[in-house]
Amino acid sequence: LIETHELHDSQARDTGTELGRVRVHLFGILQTRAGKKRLTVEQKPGLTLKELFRQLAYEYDEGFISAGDSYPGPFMASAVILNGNTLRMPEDLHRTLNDGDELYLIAPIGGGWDASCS
Amino acid sequence: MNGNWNKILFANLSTGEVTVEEPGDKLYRDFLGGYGLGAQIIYSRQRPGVDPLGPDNVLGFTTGLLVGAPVVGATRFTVCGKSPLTNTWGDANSGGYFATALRRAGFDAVFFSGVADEPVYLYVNDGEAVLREAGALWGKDTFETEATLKAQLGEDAQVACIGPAGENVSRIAAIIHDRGRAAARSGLGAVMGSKRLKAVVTSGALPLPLADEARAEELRTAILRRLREDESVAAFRKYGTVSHVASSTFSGDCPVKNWDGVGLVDFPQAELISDDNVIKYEFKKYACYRCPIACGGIYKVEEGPYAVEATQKAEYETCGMFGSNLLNDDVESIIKANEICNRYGLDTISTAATVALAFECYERGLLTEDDTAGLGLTWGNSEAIVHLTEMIARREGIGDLLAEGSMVAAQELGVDPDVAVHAGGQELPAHDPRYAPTFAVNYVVEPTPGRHTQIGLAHMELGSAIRGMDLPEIDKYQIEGKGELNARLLDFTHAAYSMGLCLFVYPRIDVQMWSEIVEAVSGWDYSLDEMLETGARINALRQAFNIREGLDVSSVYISPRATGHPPDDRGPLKGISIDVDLQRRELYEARGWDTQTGKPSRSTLLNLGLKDVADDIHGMDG
Repeated sequence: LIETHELHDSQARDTGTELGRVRVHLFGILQTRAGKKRLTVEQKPGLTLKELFRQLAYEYDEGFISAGDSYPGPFMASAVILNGNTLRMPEDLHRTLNDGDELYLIAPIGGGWDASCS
Repeated sequence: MNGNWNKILFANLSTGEVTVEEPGDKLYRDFLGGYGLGAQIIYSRQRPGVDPLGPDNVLGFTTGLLVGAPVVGATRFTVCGKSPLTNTWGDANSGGYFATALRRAGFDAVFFSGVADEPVYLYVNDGEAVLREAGALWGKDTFETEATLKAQLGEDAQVACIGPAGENVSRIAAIIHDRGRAAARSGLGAVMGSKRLKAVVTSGALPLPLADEARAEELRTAILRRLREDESVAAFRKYGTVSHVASSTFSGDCPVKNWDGVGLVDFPQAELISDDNVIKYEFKKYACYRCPIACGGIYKVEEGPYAVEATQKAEYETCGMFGSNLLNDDVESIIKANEICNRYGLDTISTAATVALAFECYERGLLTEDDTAGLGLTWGNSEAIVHLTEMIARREGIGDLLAEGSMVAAQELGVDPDVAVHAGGQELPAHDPRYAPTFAVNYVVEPTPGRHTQIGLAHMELGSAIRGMDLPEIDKYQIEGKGELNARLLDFTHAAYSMGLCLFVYPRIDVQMWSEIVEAVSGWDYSLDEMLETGARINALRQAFNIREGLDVSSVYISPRATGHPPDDRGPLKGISIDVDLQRRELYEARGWDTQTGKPSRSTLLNLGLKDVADDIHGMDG
């Protein structure tokens, strides 16, 4: 992962590879857990959304594992938007990400949902 | 009687008479207080068809069973009556300190009828209530009014008042408490204005009798411990509702460009009016009475054209409606517009929505600079937004028409009806049903239309829930089969609000605790099932109010922009349209209401203990 606070990701790290990049915009509890508003993720060939969430979970917080859960899930994103289009969860978890993709993980409104709710 | 004073004030403004009634335990147990109690009293004392701005409209200020008791989040007062904005049942609630003060003054609620010859205010203090002359206050804004009354009556006096917008009976006028806490919706500030009732002021130090005070304190302590451990509470304390202005704009939850834009395309700079960029103007935290969350704040803009000395926070709704929905990225102008609404006593949602209507009319050539005192109503023009808000507040120029709200203004301006984005006459808040589909049906089926706080299942669609309630997984875009779940969640909401609870607090507390809390406060054995039944009773009664008015409750209008008819061809909400008819039929069915007309069946009303209401509205069947 390449971590950036704002839009300076192109200077964040010289990877020396031809890997693409996916920019991830975080909100609410997901932003709090990551400690950042935006991340840039190396886009290895064939990287899926599910794998990206795993990477975020490994790097930041295990809550990201469930970011793409169907309703309801702890710390899930209440909407996952890729390049301006809302994805269907969990059906789109196996969708492959491409260089230059913009991903918005919209946090729950109103406190979210945790295990004690169900 | 524990948990209530069993004392309700009735002030006849035409005669100046103030009386106290003791309605007895059943009314309190059946309705829990709040707008439930308000609906029962107004339904039983008011004939149908009254002019909402006439002497016969009864206006109530209610508290709730848990207000004044040591219960976290029980801080709300609800104002209720027939709405001049929608001609339906109307209610609006606010936090702060007023509700607690009214209970400490020894009363559970106060109702006003008639019209005063001259401006008056009601002063309630330690078991006494008196109408006082308010001529010197008439014309003052809400900040001046509150300061004047506090100077005369003491800093402990809590004030709910109208400003010039209520005095000039703007149908989008709010009732303001504590420099910007607002009972804003339903246009009830105009009802106060029509009655020449400038303010209700209350103070007192009477301890509410409780069944088991020690147990109530124990439960409060347990809840405080639980809230301290809740990660979301810390974030909510820091940001409050402005945490999600940007994310809601990007997701499609928040409307953009009068509900016709796409946030990521038309307003990608939404972060400028969200979270950290808003709270940097906060110089003091604000908590409602004994609230540990303290999501509010007092705001200041030091200098410049939008300088503001001190006002309550511009919440999510205000930022969304004065910001994203107008493509306005100047956060200081939003704080200023919020302050104008607070001072003059306007609902920020309805006002900003009506400003957006005017902007689109300008874009379409239906308004020109000749109509707008030279203002160029171009999207994102923050100066025009602030000036037009002032014109509405003062009924100056085109503001005189816009002060009637967007539905009336659209009719007068001859614009396509869908440009005025409302439900049943009330401007829609900043939650798009295409993002959380249950808002569509709740905006039109709930007896007070266009209200996001009648939230029900939409709460889950936004990603949250009521803690401890047994709830299934849902797919928010699977519309069919949700009526029963929505009804259950709405019923709990009605019970919670009627007890005086805050939407931002009660969902965080395990739902099973409320029975224990109610028992500690009142001594009643009150199960969760009974609470749900009470919620259903409250809603059926409000629905009956509308039916008795002769309204066609099953065909309440909602702007097709909000339901995706036609669907968007771009953005996160692309292709989504909501089948409101299906939602409505299912919700009616779940409630035991006629699936075509929305009338609660006789058996449903009888099961809810509303025999008089059943006789009333089914007697009309002939």
